[in-house]
Formats: sequence, structure tokens, C-alpha cells
Amino acid sequence: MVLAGGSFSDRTGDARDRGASLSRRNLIAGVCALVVSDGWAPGASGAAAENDEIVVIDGWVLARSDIARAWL
Amino acid sequence: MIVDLDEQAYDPGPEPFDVCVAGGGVAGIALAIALADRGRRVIILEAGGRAMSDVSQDHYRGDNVGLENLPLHESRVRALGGSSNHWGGWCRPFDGFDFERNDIAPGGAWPISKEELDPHLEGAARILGVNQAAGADLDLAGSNGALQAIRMFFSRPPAQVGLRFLDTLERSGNIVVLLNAPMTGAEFDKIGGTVTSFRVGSARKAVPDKVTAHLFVLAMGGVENARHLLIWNRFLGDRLGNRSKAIGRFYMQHLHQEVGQFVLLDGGDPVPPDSGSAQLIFLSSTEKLISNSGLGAFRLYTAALGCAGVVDDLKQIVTGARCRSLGSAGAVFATCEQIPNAASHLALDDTNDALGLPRVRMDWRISDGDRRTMLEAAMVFGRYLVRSNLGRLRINRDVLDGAEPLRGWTMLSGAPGAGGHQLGTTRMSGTDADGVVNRNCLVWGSRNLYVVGGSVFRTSAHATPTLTIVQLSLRLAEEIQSRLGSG
Repeated sequence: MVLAGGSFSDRTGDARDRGASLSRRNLIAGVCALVVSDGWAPGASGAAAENDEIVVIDGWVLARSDIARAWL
Repeated sequence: MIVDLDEQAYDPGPEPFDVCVAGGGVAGIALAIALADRGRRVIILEAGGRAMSDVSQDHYRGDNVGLENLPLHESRVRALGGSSNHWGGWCRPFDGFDFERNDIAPGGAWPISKEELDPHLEGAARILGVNQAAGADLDLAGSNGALQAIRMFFSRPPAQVGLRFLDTLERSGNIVVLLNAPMTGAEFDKIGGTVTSFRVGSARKAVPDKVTAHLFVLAMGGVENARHLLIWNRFLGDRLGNRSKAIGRFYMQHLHQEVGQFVLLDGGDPVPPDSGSAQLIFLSSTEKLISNSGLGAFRLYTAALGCAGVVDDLKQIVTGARCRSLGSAGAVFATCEQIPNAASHLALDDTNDALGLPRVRMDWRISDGDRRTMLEAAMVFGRYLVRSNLGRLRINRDVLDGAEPLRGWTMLSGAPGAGGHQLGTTRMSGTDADGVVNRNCLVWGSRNLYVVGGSVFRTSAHATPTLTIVQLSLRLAEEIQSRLGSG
């Protein structure tokens, strides 16, 4: 599934390569594409920590750990 | 008794009625029935006929110089039953804190409390034929107290109040309904504080052309109530409820917008399974989130997205309902309370309708507070998805940027429960310094003219207004009965 409204179209390769080369905007779109396509769950425990910081990037409301995960 | 003045004449006789009500919509009919049950003689002047007609609707035409909006002659119905004829049937009473919004209502909160309307909730629900409920007020654990699943009530099929009470009105010995009998003016005593009669215009067979009563009520909706008061005050020097210049101002609608699209993680569900029916579930802001925030209240609902590219088709999917079978992505909508704003207003136009009455010019405006409310509604939902690990939300660019004009505000986007609610133009107040009617709906400066309907709302909450309007009508019936009873 391609996320409706998302701008990320390159859904090949692994997240590490993508994250290193993409702009922040596309990174976040990539995060969400992962959420949809791979059943990826954020955070080490599969859930955003209670005190996890909420960030808004390119309209996406995310946990800080979402971004960290995407850069792994 | 119902008399259509286009078909036959009517002689009201020499005795004044107890009450003359201008407007045969939900507010007027509820009031009349409640008074008739108490033995009062009531006459309703309904401008339209039994059903809508283009000729009748044309009287409602007006200019719009503000934000994009529904045309005035399409957003309400000039016929028996009023706008209940195109009502969706959604009901929700105000919350207690909706009456206490000193932080958003210029001049302060309502002069009445929820407790004063509560005794009339059951009666209002009965009049509106509320026969269905969905959901349950339930805090969402993952929202940190910001959101709750709420119970909505429904009139199904939506009660068209004119038809629903047609037999009652025809058989009543205490109620006279005149159809095609537009109230075109009022006569006052020399001081201007007492209405002595309402004039009836253009009725071909009306005899005479005016109706006398002890008390008079405007129940014509948020636009017409203000329109007539503005017209009369041209001759009365703003003495009739307009010391504060509030007539026509604080014009509010509910703000409606798709705020974003979301994806759900495996097994995720933004609505708790024990909150009620799978359909028709709303999430709303809580008192904890909203009180003293300076933001309007809001409610959210979702519609599922089935596959890529369906965003454009979303509006054709059932809105207001959540379709469990459609997969793991969705759109979320917000219906927000508009923050009262004096700059948002109705005024009289330079052109007249066929009855010679000045038409209305609408200048509907939203404020930065409204944009913040819409953004906060989206943010709260987004945070809720993160905290509960249900999914992730992408907020729409329009909402993030607060661009103006915003596409999709009001019911132009085709969703239910928003738009078309014309509120606040004759606001209730504790003193005549910042409102049009007092806590009993009596026009400031008048001894016998009342206003009832959404126009007296001081704030609009996120709730659909019809239930509250009928509660106000039933409360006014008690007030009038008490007053007439005391002589």
C-alpha cells in the first residue's frame, strides 16, 4: 500500500540507505511508508514511550523514536 | 388549526392571543405546543407553506461578502417545520463547561447554566423524536485526558417537525398556525418597548393584516431574528436590544474540516471497542483540555481509506461512520466550535426582497483562535495515535498553515453535523451592555418581545444545536407561563 497523500515514492532498498540520502521531508514520508508497508512498529518495545517527545515534521505527528528508528 | 392564507382567509377576532410566534420551525413549534399544553392561546406566523418552494426561498437570498459559505437561501428552509426539513437528525446536548467559557466569549460566559436546561432535555428529545443513541462517554486512556468517546443521539429518520406535529397542530384548540403568513413588521407603543402587534404581509386573504397578542416571540432562525431586529432598530434608535450593537454580530457556524490522514498499525483501532456501536463514534475534546484554553471545543470522526488514491473519493464514502472493513488507513475530520467574534456578522443590505424588507448581507469570518482550534484538534488526535501506539497521523497542509480561505470549511465538504448552523446573532447576556436578550430570552429594552433559537447562543460548543434550541424553547414556555399566570 502506498500511503495516500504521502510523497515518498522510492520504496526500494532498505531504510538505512534511504535515510542517509533522503531529505528530512522524504525521510518522514519514508517512515510512514514503512509503517504501512511493513507493519513496522515504532520504539524499541513496539510502543512509543510515555515520555517520548512528539514532533511534527512535514505534517506527520511522530514520536522522536520514530525518527531514530528510521535512521538505524 | 392550520390556515393557509394562500387558500383561505382568517379572522383572528378581537381578542388578543396570549402569544404570537413568528416562525413555524423547530423552536416555534416546540414553544407553541408547550404553551398550548398549559392552556395558552398561541398563533404561529409561518412565512412559508407546507413545503418548500422557490418563490418562498427567494425571500432568504442575501449577499455574502465574507468567507465561502452556503447560499443563504439554501442553508435554511422557509416552510412549516423550518430547517428541520433538511435536518440530519444528529443530537448532542451541550456539556456543562460549554456554558462557562469566560475564556472565549467576549463579555463572559452564558448567564445560564446547563442545570437550568437539563430539566427540559427529556422533553426536547421527545419532541425531536430522538430514538437512537450510539457510543458512551468514555475517556480514552491513551489521550492523557484530552479526548473522550462520546454518546451521540439521533432522530431516525430525522424528524421533520412540521410533519411530525401536523396532526397536533391541526387538531389543537389552542394553536392557530397561519401559513404563507410572513411577519413583515411590528407595531410598538409610543415608548418603543412594547410590541402591540405583528404585521402579516402579502397574504392575499388575510383579514386583518396584523395580529395582536400579549407577548411576542421571534423564532425564525439565526439570520431572520437578527434581520428583523436590525430593521426595527433603524426606527427605534437601537433601543430594542441593541445598546451593545450586538445584533447580527458574533455570527457563528460550526467549522468543519478534514484535518489529516492516518495510518494504523497492526490491530490498531482509534475507537475503543467498548465505546459503543462500530459506527457513528465520535471522539471529542474534554473539559480538561478545553477549559481556559482559549480554544473552541471539537469533535473528531474518521472515515476509512481503502487503498492508495482514495483520498479524492473520500467524500463519496459514508462520512460520520467508520468502516471496519476498509483497511488500515483513514482520514480524520474535525467539527469545531467557532470562537465568538464580533467581526463575523450579518448586516442589512441595500436591496429589498419582494416584501420590501432589506435583504441580509453575510460577512462570516473566522479568527486565529479558530485556526488554532482546528490545528489543536488534529494534534490531539495525532498525539493520541502515538501515545497509544495505534498509528500515525499526517496533518493536512491547509490546517497546518492556517491558510485563508481554507478549503472545506463548513459543510461544503459534504460531511454531516457541521455548517448550516447559524448562531449567536442575538446573543444572551447578563446585562444589556454586551448582548441582545436577557437570561429569559426577553429582548433588552422590551417588555414583551422574546427571541428563541440558535441566535441566542453565546457560545456554540461542538454539539449540534437543535436539542439545545428545543430545550431553550421549553424553558421559555415555562417563563411565559409564569409571566402570564401572574397577570
